[in-house]
Amino acid sequence: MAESEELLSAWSASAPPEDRAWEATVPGPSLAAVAARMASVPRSFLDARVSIAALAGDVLRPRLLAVSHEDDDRVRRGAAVGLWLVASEDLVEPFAPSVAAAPGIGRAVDALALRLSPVVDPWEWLSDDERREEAVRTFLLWAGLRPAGEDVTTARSLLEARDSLRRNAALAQAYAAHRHRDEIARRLAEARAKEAAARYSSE
Amino acid sequence: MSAPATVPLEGGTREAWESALGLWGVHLRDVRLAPGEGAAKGTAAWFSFPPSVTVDPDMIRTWGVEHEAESLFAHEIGHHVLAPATRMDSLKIRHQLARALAAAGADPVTADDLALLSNLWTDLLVNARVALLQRRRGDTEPVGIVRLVQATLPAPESADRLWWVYLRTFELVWGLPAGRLCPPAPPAPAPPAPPRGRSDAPWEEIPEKHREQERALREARRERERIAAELTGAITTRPEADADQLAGVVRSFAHDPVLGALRFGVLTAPYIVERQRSSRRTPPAGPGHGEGCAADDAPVTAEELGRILSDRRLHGGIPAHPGSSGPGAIGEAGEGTGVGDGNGQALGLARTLALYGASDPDEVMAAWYRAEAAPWVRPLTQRMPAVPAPELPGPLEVWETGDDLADLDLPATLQAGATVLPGVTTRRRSFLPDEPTPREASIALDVFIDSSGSMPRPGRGSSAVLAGMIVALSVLRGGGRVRVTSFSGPGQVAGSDDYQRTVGGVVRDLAFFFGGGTTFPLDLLERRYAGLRPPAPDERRHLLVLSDDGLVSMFGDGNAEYADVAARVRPLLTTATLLLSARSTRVDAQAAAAGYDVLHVQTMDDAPAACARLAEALRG
Repeated sequence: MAESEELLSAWSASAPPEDRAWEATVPGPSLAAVAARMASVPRSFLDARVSIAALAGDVLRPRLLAVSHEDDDRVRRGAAVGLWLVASEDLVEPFAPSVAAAPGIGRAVDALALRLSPVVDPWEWLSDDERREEAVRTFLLWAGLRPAGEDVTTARSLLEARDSLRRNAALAQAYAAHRHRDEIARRLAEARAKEAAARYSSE
Repeated sequence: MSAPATVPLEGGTREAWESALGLWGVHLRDVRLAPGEGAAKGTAAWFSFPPSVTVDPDMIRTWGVEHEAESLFAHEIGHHVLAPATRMDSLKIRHQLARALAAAGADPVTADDLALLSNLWTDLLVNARVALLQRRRGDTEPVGIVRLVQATLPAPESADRLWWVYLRTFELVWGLPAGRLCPPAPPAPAPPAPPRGRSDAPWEEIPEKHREQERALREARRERERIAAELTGAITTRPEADADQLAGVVRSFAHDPVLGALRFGVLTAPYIVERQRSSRRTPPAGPGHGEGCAADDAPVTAEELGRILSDRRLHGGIPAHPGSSGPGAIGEAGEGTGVGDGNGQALGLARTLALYGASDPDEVMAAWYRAEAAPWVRPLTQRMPAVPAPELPGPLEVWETGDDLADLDLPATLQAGATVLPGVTTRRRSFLPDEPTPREASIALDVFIDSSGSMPRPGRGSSAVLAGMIVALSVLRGGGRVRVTSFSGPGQVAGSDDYQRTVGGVVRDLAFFFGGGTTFPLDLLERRYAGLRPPAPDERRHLLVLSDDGLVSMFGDGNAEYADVAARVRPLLTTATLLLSARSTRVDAQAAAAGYDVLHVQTMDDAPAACARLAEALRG
């Protein structure tokens, strides 16, 4: 299984800057509709024997970057969930407006596979509301869409609030701060002991 | 004082009230509209127990939120439905927050901080749910409660970091974009208070021979002060991350405000500690935030205390701060004495007494020891030799002519036939052997507890009191009687003369403290047992003495007149045990000679476990 950093760097090497991606977004389908569709991904899409290359070939025109990382389970599942969102427009009903017709649809599937799945396992997108919202927002952003009824600032701020990568970084910082504080507390205990040892009787 | 004037609930206000009740799907006594009362409470709306809501319509107009009356009502109703829901739960939430604050090193844990935190926590839960209910009803965004909070709470100029975290949590819980309620970035932490410098004595006053040592001492002290200042300045709060965690807590613990309060406390207590240690006093701002909307300040009763302290949710471990590596006790200030507060689990007795300052200290102490003893208590009953049971009636059999006439069962005989033929139609009842009936013996426990100055003080969590409590409760639960005598120096004896069957009296006697010398009241022991016969087979008399090193006086040291009392009393007792936290074993030989068992514990902190073993031993 590939390292998460490797997948993330493969993604960041290919993705345009996030600022530009946000500026280019146009109103898309509603968040709730896409989230509900994502939650209903069929088992057959997530099956370990499904080849992403073949599935992508059936569903999508553009070539997926994720295909070259298909050996990673998370990438495969992440891509499969993205491909389900595209395929479901034919199988269930089209989103309004359609996501399959969005300019960045290939990149959106790659974003799920390479940007999000190394940080949050795709199973969690299905089980946890918040993580699903994160996945849907990520998908829409890179497809060149934003949730219906939201302007760029709102949509961007709400994705940032759900961003697992950012949250992990914040927790790591907090952890470092606590470690630092514990270290000072340990030094203080030593200094106290030294001071106690330096006390002397004036008799 | 005349009754405060109220205005009737009618028109649009009544509609708003009924709509708010409908939102929660509950019925509640009509809201009291009391113009002008809010000023004294520091808020425009508040709730109290038994469930009632009061609103100051004038103040609402001042705030400019009269259009959001429904959400305001729904918020207060939510306090009765969801969090804290009952007075008991509100007290438990307060207790949980006090634990979190104590573990985070807040000193002192003030009532104001507790009121602030418990208000923030319950408001978070209630507002999150009200928004959910309003959205589910199909209200247009932003829903009423969001508009109400937007109109009342934001304080963009506030430098209070906790307040920022609180508002950011609302943004996250409600899915609002950043910057709607609070600035996108948190305020900078306040600089720590400058250390209080201690002036050293001038060099001239230091004698020549001590100067070298004094120099080393001052150097060590300066180094310690420097590191202490560094520690105070180490900021561990991360408002963005904490708000994110809090939003998770609000979602996960929406149905258990009491358990969630602990997680909430762990995340927010560092801000309170930071504020205590900072030089800057930053009272939280915002018109909607005054004293909070909980208006219930009646002192906690003894019964409530018992129920609070017996809730196991209030005794579990304090969860770790999500950002920290170790257990939740970051920078544990700790009281460091007695039991129950060494590991940041349950709240120590001294802190519990401070927390329930408005209640009777005796009751608080009784409830605390009772709760601490509870896990160790096993009802202690004494099984006696069983008594053969009266026989069990069996089937009918034929009454033969030679049998006792008294055995003849006439009704059964006449049922067999109208003509009575002896030995043919006559019937008698047969009897079968049955299990013997067990009998419970009467148990009397006589506890002598040493309250000399060398014993731990009951008010700070004494393990001796706890040990006595465990045995006493075990006996009381088993239906026995307990008498407690607290003794110290000559003439210092307290306790009741009679055996008791209630916990309250027992714990009050156990917690009595003289703080003098140690002289065992042999005269009292003699008087009490004079004229008693040795215990009958169905009677159990146990004597337990809790003491430390000075117990030689029990065998006549310095009290020659009564030297043989202990030995003379021994045959009148079933068991007699001394539980000593003594280093030396000098009393052992004397005790053994007089027939007393001795249990040694290293420190009094081992006493509870030893007592639990003792209770097992008494059971036989």
